[in-house]
Amino acid sequence: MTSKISCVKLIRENIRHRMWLAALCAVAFLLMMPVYSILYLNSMNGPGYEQDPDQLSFFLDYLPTLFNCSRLALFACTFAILVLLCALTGFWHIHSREKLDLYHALPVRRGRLYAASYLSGLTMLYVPYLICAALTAAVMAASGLVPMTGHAAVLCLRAVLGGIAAVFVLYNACIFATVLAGRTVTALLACLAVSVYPLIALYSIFMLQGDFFHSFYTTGQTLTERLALHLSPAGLFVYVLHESSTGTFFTLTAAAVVVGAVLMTASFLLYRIYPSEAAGSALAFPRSAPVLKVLIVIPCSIFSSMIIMDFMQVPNGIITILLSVLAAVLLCAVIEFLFHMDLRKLLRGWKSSLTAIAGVAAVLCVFQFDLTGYDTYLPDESELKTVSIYPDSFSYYFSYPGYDDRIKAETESYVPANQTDAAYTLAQSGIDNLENGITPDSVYESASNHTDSEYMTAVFHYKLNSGRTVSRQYAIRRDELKEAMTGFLADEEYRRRLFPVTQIDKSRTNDITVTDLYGTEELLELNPDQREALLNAYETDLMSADPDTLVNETEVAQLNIYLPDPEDLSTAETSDIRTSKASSSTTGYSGHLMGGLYIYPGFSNTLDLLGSYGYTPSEDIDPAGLISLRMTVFPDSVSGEAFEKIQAGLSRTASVESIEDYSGETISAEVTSEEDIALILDNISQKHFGMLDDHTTSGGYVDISYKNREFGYISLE
Amino acid sequence: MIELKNVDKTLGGIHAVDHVSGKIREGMVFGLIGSNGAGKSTLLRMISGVIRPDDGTILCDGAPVFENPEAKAQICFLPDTPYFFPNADIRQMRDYYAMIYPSFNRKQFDALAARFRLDPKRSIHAFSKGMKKQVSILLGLCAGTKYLLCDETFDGLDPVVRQAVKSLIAAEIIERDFTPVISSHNLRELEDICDSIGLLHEGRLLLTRDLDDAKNNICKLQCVIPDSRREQELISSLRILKMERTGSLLTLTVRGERTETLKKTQAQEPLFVEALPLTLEEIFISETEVAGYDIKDFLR
Repeated sequence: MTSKISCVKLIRENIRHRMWLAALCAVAFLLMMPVYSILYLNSMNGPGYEQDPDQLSFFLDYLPTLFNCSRLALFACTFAILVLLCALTGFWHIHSREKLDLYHALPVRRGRLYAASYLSGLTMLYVPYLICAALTAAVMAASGLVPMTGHAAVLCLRAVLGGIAAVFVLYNACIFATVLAGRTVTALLACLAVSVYPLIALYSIFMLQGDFFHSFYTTGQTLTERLALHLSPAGLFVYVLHESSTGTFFTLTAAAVVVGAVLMTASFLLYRIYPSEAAGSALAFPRSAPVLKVLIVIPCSIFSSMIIMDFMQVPNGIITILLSVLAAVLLCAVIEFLFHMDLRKLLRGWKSSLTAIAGVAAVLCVFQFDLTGYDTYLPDESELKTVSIYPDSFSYYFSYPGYDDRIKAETESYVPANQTDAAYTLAQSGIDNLENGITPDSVYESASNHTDSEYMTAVFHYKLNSGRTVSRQYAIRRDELKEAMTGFLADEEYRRRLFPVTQIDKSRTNDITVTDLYGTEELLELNPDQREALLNAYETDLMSADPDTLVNETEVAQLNIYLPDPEDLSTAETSDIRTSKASSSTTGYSGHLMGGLYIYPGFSNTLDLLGSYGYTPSEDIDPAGLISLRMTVFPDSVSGEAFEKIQAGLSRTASVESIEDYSGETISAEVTSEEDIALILDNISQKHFGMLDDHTTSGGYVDISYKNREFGYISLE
Repeated sequence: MIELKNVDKTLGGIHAVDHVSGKIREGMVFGLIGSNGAGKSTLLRMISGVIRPDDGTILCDGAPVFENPEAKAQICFLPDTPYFFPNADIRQMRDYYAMIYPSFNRKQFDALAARFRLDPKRSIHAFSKGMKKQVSILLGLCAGTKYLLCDETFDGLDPVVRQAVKSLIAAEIIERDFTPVISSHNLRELEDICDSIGLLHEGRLLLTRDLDDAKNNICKLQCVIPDSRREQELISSLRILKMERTGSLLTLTVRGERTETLKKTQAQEPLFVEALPLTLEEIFISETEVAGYDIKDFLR
C-alpha cells in the first residue's frame, strides 16, 4: 500500500471543506475591487470632469488603491479579517481533539498536512484577489477615463504586489499564532498579540525615551520606530497596502516578505512538533506560558499606561510606574484566566506574575532614574568627530527649499573644527542645566506662558568617529549660545551649510517678494536675470557680513523666493499619470515659498540693487493707509506705562475686550480711526526676532489691515 | 505485529501511560481493557501516531509509527468520538477515506451502508450517536488497513448492530490480513470476540496474554478443608489474588493453572472442592483489585 497522497488532492479537499470561506472571499473581493471601481468611476464621470485637472490628478494619484483594497479603511479591515479567517480555519483542527484524531492519524506527514492547509488558505485568498485585480483593470480600461499607460500599469501592478505581500505577512502571523495556541479563542487573541507585539514593544521604548529622557530628540524616524514598523505584521499589512499604492514600495514590501517567511518557517517547525494532546488547552506548549506571560505583560502594561497618561495629559513620573504596575497586575490576572479559564487559578502562575510585575517596575525605574545615563551622555572627545548645533530658533529664522534640506542643515551644519571645544563646552553647560532642572520642556513651558526666558533650546548632533550620530536636546543660556554662534559664523563653510540661499539654483526662481518690517509683502517685478543678480548680491552681502550683525542686528526687510515645486518638476518629467501644475501659495504667488532671506542695514549690494529695481524698505507706517489695527496685549504688558497711555487716549470708537485666563488678563483693542491708529503706533515698541530669538514675546502683537487689502503683523516688546 | 517498548506518556501532569511494553500479534482480535482513566485511549492514540510518546518506541511491523506515513498507512484509528466534515454525507466521507487509504473498498462500503440502512444523502451530523458510530466503523473496516484501532467502539451501538459488527470483524479476519485492537469497558462484548487481551490500570499494563490463557491461568477455587493447619498449608502454597470465607467455605481467586490448583487442593483432603473459570469481568476485577483498585473503596 502506498502512502504517497498527492498534496494537490489534500489542498482540493481542504478547500472543499472550506467552500463557504472561498465563496466569502470571492464575493468580498468582487465588491471591494471591480464593483467599487465601477461605482467610483461612475461618480467621477460627471460633466467637465475630464477638463478639471485637479480632480483628474487626485483620481490618478489614488488609482492604485483600487487594486489592493486600501482605498477605504473598511476595505482594509475586511481584507485583514479574510486573511485571519483563512489562516484560522486552515489550522483550527489542531484545537479540537476529535479533528486531530482524524487528521494526525492519517498516513500523511505533518509537513504535508501543514502545506495543504497553508496553500489552500493562500489559494482562497490569492486566486479571487488576482482575478478581481484583473477585472478592476478591465473596468478601468473600459471606462476610458484613465490613460492606461505603461506607467499607470506599473503603479497598479505594484499595488497588486503590495496586496500580495501584505496578505503574506499577516497570513503567516495568524498561522504562527494559531499553532502556538490550543484553543481557537486563545488563537484569536494570539493573532492579535503576534500581529502587534513588535509595534507595542518597540513603541513603548520610544515613548519611554520621549517621556522620561529630557534630552531625547529625534530627526525623522528613530531606529526603534523603523524596527517597530518593519517587524510588526499588523503594521506591515497596513503600511504595505498603503505605501504600495501611494508611496515607497521596495523596503516595506521586502520587510513584509522577510517577516512573513520567518513566521512561516517558525509555524511550520512548530506544527511538526505540535503536541496533539494540547488540543483544548490554552497553549500548545504549556512550558512557554510563563515566558510568554512575562514577554506580553511588560511592554503591554507600560504601553497601556503611557497611552492613558498621554490621553489624560498627566506628566510622567512615579504615577506612571504605579499605573504600569497596576496594569501589569491586571494583565497577569487576565492572562492566567485565559490559561486556566478558572478564577480560582488566577494565582497559579504567581512566580511569572511576580517576575512580570518586577520587570515592569525595573524597566520604568531604568527610565525614571536614567540608570543608563542617557541624559548625561556626552561622547568622549576622542570619540567625537564633529558636532552640529541647531537652536530651536533656527526653525523660525531659516526657511529651506524642502524638508530634506532642512534636516540636512540641522544635522550637518557642523561647527568649524577649531570651534569643537566651544561646542563641547556648550554641551556640557546644557547637561549641567539639565541636572539643575532646566530642561527643554521647562523652556517650552515658559514660552507658552509668554514669559521671557534667558534659556533657549538647542539640538546637538554628535557625529562620532564610528559614523554614528547621536542627538540630544538641551536648554542653553541664550548669551552662551550667542557667543558660541558668533564664533561659528566666522567660518565661511559653516555659513554656507547653514544659510539656504547658498544652496539653491538662483537661475530657477518663479518670483521674489520683499516683506517689510510690518509684515507686508510686495512682489518684485523682475526678469529671471534680475532675480538671479539680486540673489547673488544677497549672497555676497551675507558671506561678507560680520557674524555679530547676523546674530544681533535687526533686519530692515526680508526677501522671499518662490521656487519651482521640486515635486511637480520631478513628476512632470518622470510621470505621465499626474498632471504637472505649479502649486499656488496662499499669497497668490506661484511656486514653493522659501522666505527668511533677511536684509540687514549693512547689506549694501542688496539694498542698492533693490533701490535700482524701485524698491525701498519702509521705515514706518502711515496711519492713513490703514483700515484697522487690532492690538493684543499679554498680561505682562497690561500694567505697563505705554499701554496705560494708549488706553487713556483711545476714542469711543475703539473696541476693547478683556480676557481673563490662568496667566492673567489679556486685552485686545481694535481701532479704526486714524487718530487711534496713530496713538497706538506712536506708543508701541516693535520686537524684532534675530537668529537666536525664539519668536515668542511676552508683550503682545498687532494685526494690521491695510487699505490696499494687504495685512501686516507686528510683535510687541 | 505492533510492538510497544517501554512506552511512556505524561499528560497534564498525569502519568497516563507508564512504561508499557507489549506486543499485539497479527491476525488476532486484541482487547484493551482497563479502568476509567487507565490510559487506553492515550495508548491507542500513540499507536496510531496521533500522539508522540515521551519515551519508548512503538513499532508497527518493525517500523516506528510517529510521523511515518508508511507505517501509519497500515493503521486506521477510530476514536471514541468520530469526526466528520461539516455537512458531509457518508459518500463524501467515503471518498475522503478512499483518497487517504488506497485499499479502501468502495463497493463493500456502499453495500454495508445499505445493509446498515445509512441514508447516503443525509448529512452525517443529522445522524444519531449510534449511527455515527456505525459510519465510523464501516469506514474503518473498509479502509483496508492491516490494523484497526477501535476506541470504545461498541459503546452506543444497539445489540443487533453490535452482533453485526462482531460478525463483520470476524469475516474480515478470515478474508484478509486484519488485526483489530478494540478498547472497551464492555467486557462481556470483548469476551466474545477477543483472542487476547491487555489490561491497563493507572497507566501500567497489568497483563497481556491470550484470553484462553488468561482464563486458564486464573480460577475461582471453592473448598471446605476441616483441618485448619492443612487449610493454612493450602493458602500458603497458592498464589492467591483474593480470599473470602463464608462459614467453613473458603473462596479463593487463584493465579495458576486450574488443574495444578485442583491438585494442590486435593492434597489437603478437602470435604468439598470446585475450581471455576473466571469471566473476563472477574479477571479484570481481580487483577485491578490486586493493583489497588478495589470496589470496597467505592462503597465505604
